[in-house]
Amino acid sequence: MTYDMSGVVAELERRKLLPEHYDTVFASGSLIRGWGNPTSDLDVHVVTRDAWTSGIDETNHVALEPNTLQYEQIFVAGRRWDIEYWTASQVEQVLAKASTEQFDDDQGAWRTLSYHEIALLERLPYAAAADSGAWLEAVRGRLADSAHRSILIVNSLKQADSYTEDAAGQIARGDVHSAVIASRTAFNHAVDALTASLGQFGSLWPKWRARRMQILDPELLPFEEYWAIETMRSFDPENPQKWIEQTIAVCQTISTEVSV
Amino acid sequence: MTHEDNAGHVTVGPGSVASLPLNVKIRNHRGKTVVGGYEHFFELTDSAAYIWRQIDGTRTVSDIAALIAKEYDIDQESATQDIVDLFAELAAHEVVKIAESDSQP
Repeated sequence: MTYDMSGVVAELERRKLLPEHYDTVFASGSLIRGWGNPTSDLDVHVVTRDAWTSGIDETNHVALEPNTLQYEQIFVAGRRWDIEYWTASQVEQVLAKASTEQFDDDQGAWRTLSYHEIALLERLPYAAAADSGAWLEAVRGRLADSAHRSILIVNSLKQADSYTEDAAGQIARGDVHSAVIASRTAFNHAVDALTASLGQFGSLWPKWRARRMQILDPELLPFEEYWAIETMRSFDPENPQKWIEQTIAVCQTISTEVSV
Repeated sequence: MTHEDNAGHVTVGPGSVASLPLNVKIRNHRGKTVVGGYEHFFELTDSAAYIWRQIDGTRTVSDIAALIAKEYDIDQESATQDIVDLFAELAAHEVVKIAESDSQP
């Protein structure tokens, strides 16, 4: 069951948390995906014409102009709403970075996508509109024609590569404990690449990885095989290197088969 | 253990077994397979990518040649030579590891 969005705009207006001019209001997160629990907060996004001036001291950096996001936080019927304000220009800049032209360019701006920009790209496909939904529909159409999916895949594969390289070096040095952790992290990123390739995004929210794999149950890595590795079922403390090699072999298969 | 000759070159034969080093990098760029070690990258042809997918640390060059011969309808001798050439080049750049099969006489 997902969150009832019908009263979101009215609630923001009542609390004077909407500017006079805005393009859209939408929400994302576990509640919207139907995975929420009693303590889950609602992640509300407001796309404004002009930068919002926040009444709280929370802010985050983005590699955009302006280079910060503004936030508000309220409680509605005992549930916390985290409200994130993006200007329409900031959203346009993120979409421009995710274009196929930028992705095909060796020096493309997609490489400068910051944490919160990637979060936006991962959230948009599952967001629920608090208005007519026309804005979200248009943006999703643009994402479908962009390098959105490829960028999210490559970001995860790059992370997986980095950790497998670490694991190899750590094993060479005899640091098996660290290599186990590096291998496990590499596996997590490789699985994120796999799920992204199949249209389930959310690398920044590893706590929902199993949910995504349950939905997909990919032929390349069926859910039960994934879960066995995730829970380190075959790990033998007497022979950790075997688990490392098996786990990284799965990462290599994913890298071979997932098309960017 | 990597099989090297006296000059330090990796020697590959029908009984050799390839496996992937832990830190090999692999990308599938819209169907084109690119593989690399620490420094060098190679874009594989379709047949080389097929061979790559058969590397499991168990199959010998001969085993893979039999699969290739069937897949591409070529004779096994040619397939074996193609695999030997591919593995020798990749091994020279540490993109694959080469060992001799335990079952070899």
